[in-house]
Amino acid sequence: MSLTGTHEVFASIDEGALNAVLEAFFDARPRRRCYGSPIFVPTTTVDATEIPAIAFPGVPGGIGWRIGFTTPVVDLFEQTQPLPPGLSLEPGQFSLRTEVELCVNCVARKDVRGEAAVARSARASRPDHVVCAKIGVFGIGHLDVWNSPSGDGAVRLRVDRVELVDIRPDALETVLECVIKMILDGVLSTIELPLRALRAGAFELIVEEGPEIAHDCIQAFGNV
Amino acid sequence: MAQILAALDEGGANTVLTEAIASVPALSKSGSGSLGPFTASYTVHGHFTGGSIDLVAPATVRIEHLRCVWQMALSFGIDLDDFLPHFCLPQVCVHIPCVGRVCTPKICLSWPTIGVTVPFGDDVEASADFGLDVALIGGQWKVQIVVQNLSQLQFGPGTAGILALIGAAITPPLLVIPFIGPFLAGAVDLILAAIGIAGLTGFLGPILSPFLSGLKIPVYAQDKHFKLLPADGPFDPDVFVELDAVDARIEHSDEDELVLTVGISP
Amino acid sequence: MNASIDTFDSRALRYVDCYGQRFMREGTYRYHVLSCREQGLASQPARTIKVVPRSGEGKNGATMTQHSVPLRWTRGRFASSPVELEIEVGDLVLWNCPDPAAPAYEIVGDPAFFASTRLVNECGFTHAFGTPGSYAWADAHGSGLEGTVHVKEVACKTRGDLERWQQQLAQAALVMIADGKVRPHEVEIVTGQTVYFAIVTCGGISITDKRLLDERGGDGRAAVR
Repeated sequence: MSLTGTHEVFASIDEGALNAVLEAFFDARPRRRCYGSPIFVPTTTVDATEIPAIAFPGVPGGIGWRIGFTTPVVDLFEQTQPLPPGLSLEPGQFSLRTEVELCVNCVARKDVRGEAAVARSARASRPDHVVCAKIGVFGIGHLDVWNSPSGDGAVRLRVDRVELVDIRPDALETVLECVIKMILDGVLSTIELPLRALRAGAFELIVEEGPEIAHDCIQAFGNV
Repeated sequence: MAQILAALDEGGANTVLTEAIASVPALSKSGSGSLGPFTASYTVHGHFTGGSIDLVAPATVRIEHLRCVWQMALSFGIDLDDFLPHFCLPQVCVHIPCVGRVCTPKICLSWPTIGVTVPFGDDVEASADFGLDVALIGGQWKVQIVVQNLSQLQFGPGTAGILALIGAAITPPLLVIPFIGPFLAGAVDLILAAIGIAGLTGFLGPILSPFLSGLKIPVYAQDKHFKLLPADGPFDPDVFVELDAVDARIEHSDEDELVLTVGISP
Repeated sequence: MNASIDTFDSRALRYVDCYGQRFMREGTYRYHVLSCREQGLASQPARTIKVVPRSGEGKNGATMTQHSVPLRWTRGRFASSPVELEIEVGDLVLWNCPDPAAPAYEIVGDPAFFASTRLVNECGFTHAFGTPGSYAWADAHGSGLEGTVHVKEVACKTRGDLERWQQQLAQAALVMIADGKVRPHEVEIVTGQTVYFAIVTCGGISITDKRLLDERGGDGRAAVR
């Protein structure tokens, strides 16, 4: 069976190459997997992205927090990486595996009336007592693609479900899964990988079919 | 190995390679060669068009009817003594009244050498088997198809017309040569016959063959340090991957395909 | 088909031109063959013509002998043989240099009672016309004498045509110039034929292609190689 089938051009990137692309992306732009409120990330840099603290009454400056994750490792259907119970990889889907680290600045309130404003301000600008948790995360998602008749186009990974392991009680697990799914999907949806890059610049391709996940690859068919 | 793969069927290869052939920069060459009995200097420019692609596994791209469209400026000298009969103005006598008979001497002429410059152009066609050539040159991966076997050049029907052009170019400088008038038509015919179609193709063949036999048609060219994404603001620099290996081959299944594989790493 | 660059001028003789001069009195006459590049400066010793009385038929007899002096262009000079020529009164000397590579030249007597640049009495100038066209000529010295030579194209398609043409070439047209008149005023020849301009009596003229005069506004001689 030919690669091109009924089309003129076929292009594919296998899951190893896709993971190399993701690794290259997060290595070059580590801020895309590290976010923190000003107590952790005073300003956005290449390494980290500043996000607001969680505002809450009575907590001066809000709740300082940080979330980061390791570069996701993606497995394209058909499944080659193990998944926890409850997750299964269906045609057209990918799975991902990462480790999320969630940190909170756990402040013991020391604000005393009459404390000098300068001293209060200095204390508010550095972490007080940071507590962190690392959580293994598995996810399932699909490709979000667009392309145009001019040959432009891109794919992005969208996360549909997340499964955390060994979190009790189940309700907490559900809450955390929801939060982490939103965060991972939010992060990955900002990463658009152009089709040209996914075929390493080889041949022109006006997509007629795909890009889609199949045979451990993202593949597309079309004409020149 | 982490791999990107791209494949073209024959239809796609026809489109891609036809464009690639047309993108090959025009070739130029100057020199001299034998044009029949003459030594002619020339400057020639050529570019390529057309061709129908046949992919042959495991590593041959056959291009039929590959055309080289060329323009040439040809200059050569013609020693007319080689073509025209030895000619003398005979002794001429007149009778002058009251003086007598006066005669001029016989004056023998030598015919000059004339310079001819002829601009002309035509196309030449050939079929060639190309091999796939993959090389990392100066930090860039290049896949080209390179001529391995070239068929005999087939000159276009216009080549015969070139003789007529040469005849037209010869005529003006001949016209200004004194006493040539009665020999003019014969001189042009003799010169063109001396060149002949065989002389012309024998002249053009060695000039144009290297154009075709040295032809390299680009199929793929990318930096090894491949830019995946351009920078997007001060905190999002360029993203690169390394193209570690490139391979090109023709695969045969239910159809023939030109397959390019690229191994990458972060 | 007239793409002619064929011009003629008795003041600047070329390989298809002849200059002839009759010598009607006894004496020794010196002359120079000057390249037109020499602008009248003789760089070589003069040649001489010794004119002796006629040995028969009386003085200024109607029959005369022609003496041809072939000139050769060698090593940048004109050479002639013989250097000294002895002729009889009434004889004609005719000069020609058949070398196409030779520069235009003139025959200048010393003293200049005879010269190809100023044709006076009993002399002649011939020119073989190599290219078809109409050639108007005039006297560059301003006498007002003029005429036209019509040269017809010849097309030779067969060997017979060529032979007929060769036979035509052996016949010249004669133009007589005497007492301020040119007869005939116009002549018609075919390509390659010669016109003999016979100057019987004249105050000193040239036979000059009018195009040369037009180019130079009168003299025109510098336009000739």
